[in-house]
Amino acid sequence: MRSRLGGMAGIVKLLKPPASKEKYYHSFGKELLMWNVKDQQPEGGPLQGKAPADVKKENLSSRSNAGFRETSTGQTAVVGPVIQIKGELTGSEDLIIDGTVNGKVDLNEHHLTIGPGGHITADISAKRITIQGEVRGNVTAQEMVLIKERGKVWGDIVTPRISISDGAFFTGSIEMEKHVSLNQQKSATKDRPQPAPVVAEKSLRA
Amino acid sequence: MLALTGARQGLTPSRNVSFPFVFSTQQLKRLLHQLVRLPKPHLLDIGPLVGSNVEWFLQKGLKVHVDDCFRHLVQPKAQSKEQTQTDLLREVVRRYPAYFDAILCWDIFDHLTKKQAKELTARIRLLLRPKGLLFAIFNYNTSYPSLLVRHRIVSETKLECQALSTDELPRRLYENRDIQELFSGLEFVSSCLLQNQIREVLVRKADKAV
Repeated sequence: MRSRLGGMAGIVKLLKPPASKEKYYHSFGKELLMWNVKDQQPEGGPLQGKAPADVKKENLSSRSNAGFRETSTGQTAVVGPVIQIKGELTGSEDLIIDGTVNGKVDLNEHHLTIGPGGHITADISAKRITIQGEVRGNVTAQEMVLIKERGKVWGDIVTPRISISDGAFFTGSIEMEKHVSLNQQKSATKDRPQPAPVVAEKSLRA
Repeated sequence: MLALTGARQGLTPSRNVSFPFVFSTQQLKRLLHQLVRLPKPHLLDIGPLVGSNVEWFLQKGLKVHVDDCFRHLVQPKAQSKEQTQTDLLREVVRRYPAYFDAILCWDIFDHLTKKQAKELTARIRLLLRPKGLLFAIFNYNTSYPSLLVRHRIVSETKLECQALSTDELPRRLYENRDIQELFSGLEFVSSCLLQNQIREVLVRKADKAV
């Protein structure tokens, strides 16, 4: 039986051939988790017996339609579909979330992709954000926000650039700021009354 | 035959219009010119989400809010249609009273009963700031099937009407007096009937409106 961590490592393995013996570091809040990809390989998995290069090629080609890409930094962490995280998620590498996150996601200078299976109930901030799953919370991007065809967002977005594909769902507000600070709070126009605070369960789940 | 609510009788619509089609608009340009003069104007679009429209308004310097009321026109599984339609914009009114400089209603009134339309207008009145504008479309052309449509902005003077489903919705045909009654308490900025029998209406909330 595959553990949560084992499942996650299994997914990381798909992006990086296990033969490289690289270790991956993921910080979830203050907790630092580390594991060796080779040590965590699930036995008898569907990809067992295939050459690492084949595994990587197969993975990339199968996910290309969903919009997954190797990022410019070459470091991409993945929160797999069976992972649930509660709390603050920060990091200094690109991240793909295909699981569930409740709390806060802050990737500072890196790219964040919410995969088709991603369910985020959190305020998220990153350099560039691609949404293919569901996000309930405010979204702040330094560069760009992409809401893909099946992406769903309930919340307010602040970004210099945005692209919303046909078929996407969005409820909230969008503000285009040329220079977005990731710590930036939503600014209200001086002579405009402040909107009432959101009652999370009621408004976000509507 | 279309299920018309309070509609004119005796109309037998033909189906000679194919979607999508582009038509001219006069009020969008007028609306935009009013808005871009304001500092950081806020726009609420209650139509079906059109990404290019949002991007278009953002490029003009507006802050765009989106709340798709049209999704309530399609019967949800869990709730009755009547119930969800009376909830239109209720949550937005609670969060953003007197907040918006303009609201895009598109053709939603065509698909509401008289009572629902009045309730929605009352909420829109609460959402608009003094001098805030409301843009709405009323379709008189019965050769258009009464489908759930969305309007994509091609330019300041052109809109593209795209069908979102093949299921026909009830459509109410408004007489002029119906529109005046619907927007009573609001000032008419402009109302024009286009060649394709689509009426565009731009109304404004009074400066010192209650």
